[in-house]
Amino acid sequence: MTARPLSLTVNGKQIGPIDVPDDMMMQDFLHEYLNLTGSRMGCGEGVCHACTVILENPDGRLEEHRTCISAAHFFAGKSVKTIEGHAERNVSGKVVKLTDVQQAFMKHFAFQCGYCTPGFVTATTVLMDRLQRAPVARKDLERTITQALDPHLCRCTGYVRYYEAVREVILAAPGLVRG
Amino acid sequence: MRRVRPRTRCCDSVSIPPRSRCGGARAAPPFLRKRFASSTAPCLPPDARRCRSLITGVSVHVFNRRRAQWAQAEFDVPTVGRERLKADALAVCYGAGAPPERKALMTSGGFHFVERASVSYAPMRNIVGQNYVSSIANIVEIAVDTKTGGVELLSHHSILECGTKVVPELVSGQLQGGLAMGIGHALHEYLPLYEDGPGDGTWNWDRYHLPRASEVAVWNQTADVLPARSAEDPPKGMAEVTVIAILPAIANAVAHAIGHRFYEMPITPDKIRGALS
Repeated sequence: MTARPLSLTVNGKQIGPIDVPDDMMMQDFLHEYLNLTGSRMGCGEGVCHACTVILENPDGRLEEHRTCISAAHFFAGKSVKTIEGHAERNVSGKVVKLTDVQQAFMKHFAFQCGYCTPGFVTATTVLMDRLQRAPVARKDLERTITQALDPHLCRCTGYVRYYEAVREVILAAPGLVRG
Repeated sequence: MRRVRPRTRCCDSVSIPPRSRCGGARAAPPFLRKRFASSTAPCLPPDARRCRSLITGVSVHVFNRRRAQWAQAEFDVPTVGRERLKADALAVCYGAGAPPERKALMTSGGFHFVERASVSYAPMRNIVGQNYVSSIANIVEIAVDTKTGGVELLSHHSILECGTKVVPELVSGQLQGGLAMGIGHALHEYLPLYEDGPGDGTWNWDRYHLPRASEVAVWNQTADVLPARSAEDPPKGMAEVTVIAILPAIANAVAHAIGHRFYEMPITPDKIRGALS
């Protein structure tokens, strides 16, 4: 197994170069090298989507990526936002303000055990970014949410309160829905 | 912002006191906890408490028949005296400073089982309508693809009775979560026994299908949670009662749709194709 230096941006912070094995998954890199344990290890084979993080493209477009089946080196030179990078923090790193998505999940009692929640926050944030660029018709909103979030598994909640929270936060944000 | 959230799917609206053995029974009445609090010296730091000869742990069994009809018993509790408690079994343990003859009594899992001096139970009565059990009924709407054998859940409706709701949001979450589990059991989730089952340690979600949002009619489910009958209507245990009724509802719906009744879950596409061929 060989290790190569890896540099990337995580939550706005320049990381590396750090020697990282070629076959190390991003999930392990985040957990073991950066101590960012918020993205969850669920199935380890890309089914449950609890491990997703946001890939911030140079044009600003956000993408969702499963870290359990993506090598850390795939993210070389790229910019990543993990669940730890969503809420606003003060200089000492303490969370001072949640995002609208996080706040909506709290308000709706959307999650129970919380294991899948980082993935749902990530997916919803990416969906809202997409709708910002290409709004959908109101009548298509529920279908759009289902398509975007359907890959995310949840054992506890039955999804309803998540989905209702997502719909509310999308409708409350200006410019995401037409008509 | 920080909130305490439930850690498990079970959110019975009653709290079970630690160490009590009360399957199906209710929490220890508050006065019981308070009375023993005085003899456990909770204000002392743990080390100091251990040095004392007093009671440092209590385990009770409580039994409730109808509302507030607690079984009562008398116990001669060392260091406390004769006590009449709303509990029918009691065990205590003592601190490290207790005399050896008292510590020698701690033979039941490290506790001293205190024989009760007398006991009384509330008489059996007609308890219909006076229970602590939540009830649910379900109606489902499905479509069966006769070619693939796939079942699509189009919508479902629940009628739930759970007495006084302590946290309505959690009742609704528990309802929806239980329904999703029941739907999984009815149509998707299969754990075969023996060597090739999940016990072989290699199973994962590539071969165990957990329902996704699109498979639980996430936007097309409705519920009537019946109002509490009165302000005194007790909160009833929710647990996972909501898993139950959706199963026969789906099995009945499949039987109505294709004229074949299944007696084993999950009702998978290949079973339906087999029944239709």
